[in-house]
Amino acid sequence: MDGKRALAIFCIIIAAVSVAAGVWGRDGATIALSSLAVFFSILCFIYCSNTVYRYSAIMSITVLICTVLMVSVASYDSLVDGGVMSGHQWMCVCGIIHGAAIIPLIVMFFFSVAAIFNASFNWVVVPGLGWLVGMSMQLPKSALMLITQYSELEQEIISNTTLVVVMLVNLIMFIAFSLILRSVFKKNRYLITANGLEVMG
Amino acid sequence: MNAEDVKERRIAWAMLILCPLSIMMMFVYVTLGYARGLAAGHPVEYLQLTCVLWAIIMTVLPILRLARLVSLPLWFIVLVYGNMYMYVISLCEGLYFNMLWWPDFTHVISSMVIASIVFIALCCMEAGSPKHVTFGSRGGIIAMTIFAAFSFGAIWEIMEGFTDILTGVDYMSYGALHTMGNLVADMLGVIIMAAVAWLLLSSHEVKDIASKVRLGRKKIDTNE
Repeated sequence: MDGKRALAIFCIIIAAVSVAAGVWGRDGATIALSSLAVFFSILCFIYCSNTVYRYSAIMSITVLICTVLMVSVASYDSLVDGGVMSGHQWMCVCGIIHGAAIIPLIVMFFFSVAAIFNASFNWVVVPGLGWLVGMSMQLPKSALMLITQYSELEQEIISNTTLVVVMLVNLIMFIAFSLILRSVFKKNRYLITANGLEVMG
Repeated sequence: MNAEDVKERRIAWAMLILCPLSIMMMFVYVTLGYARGLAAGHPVEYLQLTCVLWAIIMTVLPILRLARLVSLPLWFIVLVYGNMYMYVISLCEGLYFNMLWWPDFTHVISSMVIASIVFIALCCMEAGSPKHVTFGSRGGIIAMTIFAAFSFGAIWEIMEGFTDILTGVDYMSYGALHTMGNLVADMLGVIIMAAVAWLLLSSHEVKDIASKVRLGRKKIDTNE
């Protein structure tokens, strides 16, 4: 097995470890994001060219770091119950960590779609739809939270304000990321194609 | 004026007359006190105002079509107007209060409408893009429709949540479980619409779907 295929398999394992960490911490949001990372890393292994594996590695490692943070030092128990910060501050921290985990998922979404369906995206499509793709990850996140943390939602331990603030922080991060992506793609004439990241001829 | 244009104009005239008329019949129904939404707890003025506003809103698309400014696919118009009727009738009949699953069901239908708008917009993008930019095969458009349409559920919940946070009153959301339920319902609606779009693309080209959306007098007159 060549080194690049080994890297792709490593990405799947890292993402799977992240799912396990999310399950251990009973954190529905990170279970969902880690599951998406597993899904995209498998798609990447099957369909994408070797050049995309490094993006898959960045995604899996980022998601793992964010999951470990959310179930350990950045959890509600550690920061709010531990008296480190207020509930509202924790909501923003939580939003930033979730957003950081989702951003590489957005990039891998475009690489996967391009590879599977032979698509080609330029500086208009990637940033224009990128922030929407990022926000779409809130739905599987919610579905998993509903399954794993139903009692906390029912008892309002996780409040509606928490959900709204986290989503808003995510939205701001994705729009900022899309703007950066737009300028980078436009300046370098990048295209995301079935072969990975290419420069428009 | 070609045959398709004549047909579209006839439909627009029928909609312009029948849609507001039917909604105003709901207004009379509410005013006479027969609407079950009154017993369920909706104030009479709220239901009357809803009827009047939706009767006006329903005239917008036919007017734009008759003024040759907007032409949309018939299946899309049926979906949008079906959603509007469902909202007004279910509100007047008090279904939001009397049937626990109704709000989630309306979220499913509304997200289907949103997904159809996203799908049509993506078809137009595909048709109007240069050759080196494409969503690829139909699966590419469907995947993009699903992910882009999912996002509007979250954006809607942010809007609802912040309305309540800013006003300090639970006008639009009723807790975290309600928000979560809505998001899951949105997800279901998008998936249903994606399945419909998948079937639509099996019998129609992307360009055919995009060609049914014509904005501006010039495009409608020349039927481009």
